[in-house]
Amino acid sequence: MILITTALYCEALPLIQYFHLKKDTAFAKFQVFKNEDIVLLITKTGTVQAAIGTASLCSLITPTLRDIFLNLGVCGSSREDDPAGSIFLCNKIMDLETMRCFYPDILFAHPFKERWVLTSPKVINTDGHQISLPPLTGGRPISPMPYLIDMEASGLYQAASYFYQPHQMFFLKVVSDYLMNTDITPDKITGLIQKNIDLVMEWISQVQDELSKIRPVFTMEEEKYTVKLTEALQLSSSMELKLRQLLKYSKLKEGSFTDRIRDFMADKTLPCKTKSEGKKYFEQLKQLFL
Amino acid sequence: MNNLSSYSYNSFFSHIYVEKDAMAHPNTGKILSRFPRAVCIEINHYKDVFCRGHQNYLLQKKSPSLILAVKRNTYVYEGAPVCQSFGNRHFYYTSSVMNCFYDCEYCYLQGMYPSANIVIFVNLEDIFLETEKLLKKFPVYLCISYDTDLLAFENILEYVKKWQAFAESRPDLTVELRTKSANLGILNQLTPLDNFIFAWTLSPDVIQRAYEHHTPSFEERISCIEKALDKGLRVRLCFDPLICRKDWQSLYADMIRTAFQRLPADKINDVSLGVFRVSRDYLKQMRKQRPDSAIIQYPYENDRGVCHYGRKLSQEMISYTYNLVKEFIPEKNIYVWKETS
Ligand code: SF4
Repeated sequence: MILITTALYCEALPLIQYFHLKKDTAFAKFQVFKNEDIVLLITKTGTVQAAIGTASLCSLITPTLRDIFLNLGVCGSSREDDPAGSIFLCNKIMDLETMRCFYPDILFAHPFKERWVLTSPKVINTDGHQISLPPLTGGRPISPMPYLIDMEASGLYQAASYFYQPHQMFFLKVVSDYLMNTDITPDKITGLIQKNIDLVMEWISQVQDELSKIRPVFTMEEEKYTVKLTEALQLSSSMELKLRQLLKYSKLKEGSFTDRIRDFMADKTLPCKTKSEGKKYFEQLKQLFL
Repeated sequence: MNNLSSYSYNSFFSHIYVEKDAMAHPNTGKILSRFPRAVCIEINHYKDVFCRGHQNYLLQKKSPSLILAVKRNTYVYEGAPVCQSFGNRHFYYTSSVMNCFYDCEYCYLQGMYPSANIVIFVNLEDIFLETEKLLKKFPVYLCISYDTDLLAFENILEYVKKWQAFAESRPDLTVELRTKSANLGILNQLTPLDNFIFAWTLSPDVIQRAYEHHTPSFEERISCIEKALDKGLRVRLCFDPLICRKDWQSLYADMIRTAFQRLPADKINDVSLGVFRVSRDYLKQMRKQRPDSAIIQYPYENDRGVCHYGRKLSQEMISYTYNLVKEFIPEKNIYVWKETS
C-alpha cells in the first residue's frame, strides 16, 4: 500500500484523477481518498496537522515492510533559478522551530535531484536567500547550500517514523515560489503537481515492486502447521519460541516443512498427555530438522 | 538520471553524511575527493543518522552510505570476553571505522549497530594520542580492525599505512589487523614490522560464496597471503568462525590442507580457531535484521548469554580442526576460543 499525503486539496487533485481515487467518508476529521493500493490523505497545512493526520491514519491501517509513505507537495526554494515545477527528493528535513534534523534513507536509485528541506511553522517571505535562525543556534544563518521550505515535512517524518522504516519514506517537493510574496493560486499548484505526476508514480511503483519482494519466512499454511504442532505437543511459550526457531531454520535450509510435520504428527498419538511427552517429541523433531 | 528499470539501488557510498565538526579535517577532504559524484549531506552528529530508529540493516547493506565524523570521549576500549586475547594481558581494541564494506551473514556488527551505514572517524590522531597514553603505563596489544575490515578501506582511507607508521617506532605496541581483504596493490605499500600482525580470516569456498558477500574468494585470499609472507609481513591465520553444515568436516579438512599446501607453515606466526559464537542480545537483533538467513536462524544454544552450536558440537569442531592444524603448526602457536573462558 502507498500512503500519499498532501497538505492541500489542490495538490491532491491530480492524484485523485490519476488513480481514480474515491473519497472514504469513514474518516471524519481528515479528507481521505482511496483505491485498492493507494490511500491519499489531505493533512491541511502545518506540522501538527500533518503529524496528527498521519499518525491517526497509520494507527488504523498499519503499514508493513512492503509499504510506502510518500509526501508530495509544493514548496518554496532558496534559489530563484529553480524553474517553477522543479521537483526534488528531500534527503534531510530540518524543523525550523526545534532545529532538529531528520534523514530519510535514500537507498533507491531515482530520477530526481536532491535537496534538503526546512519545515517552517509559518509562511516565510524573505527578500534574500538566508533565513536567520532563532537565538538557540546563535542566530547563525542556515548553510548557503540551496534549500527548500515547506510547512509539513518534519511533522510528517516524526509521525510516520513510528510506522515506517527510514527507507520507506519519500518526500518529494515541487517548487512553486521563491520565499517572496507570490500570487500562487490553487490552479497553478494543481498544474505544477500534474506536471510531475507521471515521473513520480512510475518511480514509486518501481520502488513498490522492489519492496514487495520482502516476504515473511512462513507462508500462511506453514504458520497454521506451526500452531497446530505447538498445541499438539502442549509446548510452553518458551518451547514454542524454540520450535519456531527450529522450523524457521529448516524452512530456510530445506524449503517448506509442512509435509515433514504432517508425517511426524501422523506417526504419533497426539495431542500429548503430558508436558514431558511434548518435550520428548520436540527433541525428536530437533534430530529430524537439524 | 538514474532509472530503476536498470537497477534498483543506489551505488555504494552514493550519499556521504558529514558532521559539521568533521568538515575541516584533512581526512574528510581526502575521502570526499574519492567520491566526486556523491551527494554530501551536512549533519550535526553522526548519531543523528547512524542511530535513527527502525533502520533496515539488510536493505542499507545494498546501498550503504558513509558518515564522516569526529570521534569523541573514548578512543580505545578493553577487549570483550568473546574476543581472542592471544595470551596478552593488556588487550585493547579501537574503532576508527564502524561497520564494514563486506557483508558476512554471520557478522555480529548487524547485532551491535542500528545501521549498516559506515561511520569513519576522521580524527585518527586522537586515537594515536590515547594509545600513546596507555603505552606509558604498559605494553599494549591493540586490535585496530574489529568492528570493520580496515584493509578493505585502504584505498579510500590509508589508515593501515598510518597505523604502521605509528607502530614502527613503538615496540611496546603490538597491532593486530584482522581482514578478509585481498588487495595485492595495497600489499606493496605495507612495511614488514615485528609488532604488526596481519590476521587473515580463511573460510572454505562454499562458506565464502554462501555467506561472506562481497568478500574475496578463498583463492584470492590465499594468493594475497602468499604475497604478504613473501614480503615478510607477520601473518596470523584465523579459521574463525567455523560454521556448521552437514559436510563441515570435509569442508574444513580440504580448506586447511589446501591452505598449508600453498603457504609455508614455518612462516605463519600463529593460527586462531573458533566456532561461530555471538552474544544472545546481538543474535536477537541479527535475527530481526536478517530473517531469511539460515546461518542466523540456526537454533543456537544459549550458554550464559553466549550463543553457539552447543558444547558437544563446538568441541567436536574445534578438536577436529585443531588436529588438522597441528599437523602443520606447533601447538603452542594455535589459539582456541573456548566458551568457558
Ligand atoms: S569481514 Fe568481518 S567485519 Fe566485515 S562483514 Fe565480514 S565478519 Fe563483519
